[in-house]
Amino acid sequence: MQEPKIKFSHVTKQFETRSQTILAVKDYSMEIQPGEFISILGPSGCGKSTLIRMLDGIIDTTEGDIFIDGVKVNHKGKKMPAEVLRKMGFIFQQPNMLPWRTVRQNVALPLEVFGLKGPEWEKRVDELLEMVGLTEYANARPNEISGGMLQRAGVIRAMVHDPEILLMDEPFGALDELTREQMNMELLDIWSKTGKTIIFITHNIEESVLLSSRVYVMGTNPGRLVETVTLDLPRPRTLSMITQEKFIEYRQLLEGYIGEIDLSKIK
Amino acid sequence: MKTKSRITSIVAPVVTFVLIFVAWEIACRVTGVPSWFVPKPSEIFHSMVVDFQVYLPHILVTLQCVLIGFLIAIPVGLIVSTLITSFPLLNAAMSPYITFLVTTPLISLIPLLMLAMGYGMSMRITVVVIQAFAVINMNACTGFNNVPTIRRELMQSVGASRLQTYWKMILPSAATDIITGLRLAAIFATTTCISVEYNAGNTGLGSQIIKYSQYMKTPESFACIFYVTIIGLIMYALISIIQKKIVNWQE
Amino acid sequence: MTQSNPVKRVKKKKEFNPINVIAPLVVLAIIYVGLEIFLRVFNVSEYVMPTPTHIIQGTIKSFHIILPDFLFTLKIICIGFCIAIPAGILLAALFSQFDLLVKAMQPVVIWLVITPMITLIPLMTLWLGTDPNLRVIIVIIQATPIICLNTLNGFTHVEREKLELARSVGATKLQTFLSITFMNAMPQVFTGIKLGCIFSTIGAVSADFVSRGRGLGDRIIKFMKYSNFEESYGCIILIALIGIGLYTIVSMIEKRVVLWKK
Repeated sequence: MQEPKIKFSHVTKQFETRSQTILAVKDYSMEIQPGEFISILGPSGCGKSTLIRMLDGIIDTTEGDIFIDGVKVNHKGKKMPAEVLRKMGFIFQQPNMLPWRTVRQNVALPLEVFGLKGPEWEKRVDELLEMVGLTEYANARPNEISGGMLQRAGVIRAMVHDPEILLMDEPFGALDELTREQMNMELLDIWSKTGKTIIFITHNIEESVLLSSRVYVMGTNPGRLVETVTLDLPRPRTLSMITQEKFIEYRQLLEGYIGEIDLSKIK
Repeated sequence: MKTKSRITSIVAPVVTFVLIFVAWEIACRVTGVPSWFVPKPSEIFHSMVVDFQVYLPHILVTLQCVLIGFLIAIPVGLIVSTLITSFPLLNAAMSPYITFLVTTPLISLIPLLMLAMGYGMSMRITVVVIQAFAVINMNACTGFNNVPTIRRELMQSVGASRLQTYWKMILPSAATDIITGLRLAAIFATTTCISVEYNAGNTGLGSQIIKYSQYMKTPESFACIFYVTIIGLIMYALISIIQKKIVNWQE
Repeated sequence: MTQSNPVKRVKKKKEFNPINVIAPLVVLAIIYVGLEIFLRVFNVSEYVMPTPTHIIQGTIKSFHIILPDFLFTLKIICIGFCIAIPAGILLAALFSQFDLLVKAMQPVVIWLVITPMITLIPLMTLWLGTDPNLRVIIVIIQATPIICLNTLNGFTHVEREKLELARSVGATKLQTFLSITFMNAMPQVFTGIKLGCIFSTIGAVSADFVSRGRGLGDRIIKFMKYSNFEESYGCIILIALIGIGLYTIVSMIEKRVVLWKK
């Protein structure tokens, strides 16, 4: 069997506060194959954001290990090495642009930090801007363009150093419904062209079914894996599939899991 | 529209200043108060121009003290605040003292410093530096501590080193607060310098103000006060210009 | 935006953190003991710097002498400060009603902020006499402009949507000002008041220095003349305590009032 691209092995994360210990993620395991598009679905506070922040070295793990390409990447208290971080691009819920930089400078930020210079990288920035239709706004400041455009810039910033993995933390959650659908389709397009491994975090059931090949459902208190659902839907996916029977079945199935979690929370 | 509003924002204050001085002049002339009691603005301006040669060395002394003090306080304030905010424990340990330094009128140290360092320039600059440093330090700490978490995460996600994070993200994020600190420091530096000169020595505008008031030469005294405010206003304006040049983005 | 992530929420919860109290106390202890040892080991003469223990002992011993001056300075600062706050805010409120007035007056206010008011003390003595209580006026004119400047800044930077909201529900000008403009400017108002309390303390002490006779500033110089350096330092510490005390009170009120700020 092929080696998994990403592997979580019994990962646990505790946050210590003065009055209590919060178990944000408990004993989480999953394996993701290269080129897969998976989503992690769960209500707010279930630790799904914590999960990918641990993968990207932003937060330490408390217990358990994370592997990328079979190599253990989490080392407590130590910064993740640049060659590991270069394999990943992180897309935040907000555009998270630095307001003093132009759109182009923002997109090129990872190149500066990773020390990737030269005309081929410059060209890559231009191509990416072109791809998401931001060429004419390249020299605009973030406050001058719309939220949708900013989020596109956020997506290509995460891709500019050509990572193999994209980590997306509810990337389109702050956008309006129409822009969101459009962005989802663009994302699928990017994925099919580049074949990157994508972990997509969302609390939107429809979105998770529409985009991914597999959905990991998480529950709260403590944040944990509740169920894994493999989606047997044809690719390429289109918005018209939302009304198909199979799609609705999956949606109801997931709604069931999320509902159960909510119910257990009330108890 | 924009140019029109820009013109108003220049013309309006000029008109206000002119009105204030005209009203003052008229009030003095109508009531006929002696100029040693309340000088007419015309006398003050006259003295500012005619006796400029007399004032100039003192203006230079004050200017030198304010500028050197201010220029030393900036890097010291920024370095200290950077150090303090870089370590959570240090941050917690020092934060009350940062406020403490600002709220303590450091001019109360003047008599003791005078004893230790004499009346000279070094003592004056020392007082200006500590007072200005305290304000810059406090505001810079606020700025550094209020950097959004999500921006830190961004820098972490691309594996930025501490130095890269500082230059590319933390410093620009705190720029607005730092400049606010500089602007206050300019005011504090001027005020403190005058207070020191007032209490120690016989050079500098502060010393002249007190000398002239003792001899009831009120117009000359006011002329010196006006020169002090001009120094303060120029520094304030310079910082505002720098702010517009450097912090030219909107959050 | 609506979806908060759990990491941030944990950090945001402002719990009482004992480190914030213990760490500063440890620093205080280190400074105290460090100074004590340093000054004794190197035999630093007390006119350069007396040891902390001596400062405390001296201050307690002479406290009956210091007390009237302490109360006097405290009174001057508090009265001046309490007049400066409403004065500054009212002036700002007045200016902010007219766009032209804002543009016309802002530089004048800046001009007043920059003028070191102690330079006016000899003139004020000339105009009003030598009553030490007149130092209140110095405090007022030193603190009012800075409060006014910051408040004005807050009043003139209200988001347009909020003003439109007020207009859409048919609020009167007064209602709009009180419920939108004023509440919105609260953080800046408090910044102004905090700066005002720093300026008040500076104003009062420098007034003591210049016109002498009473007050903690005067007491510092008197003690020094008789080489009572411990008491001099004690007075400086008392002044610092007044400053930090006022500042803390203002900060505490701010935390109660400006609940929405972080």
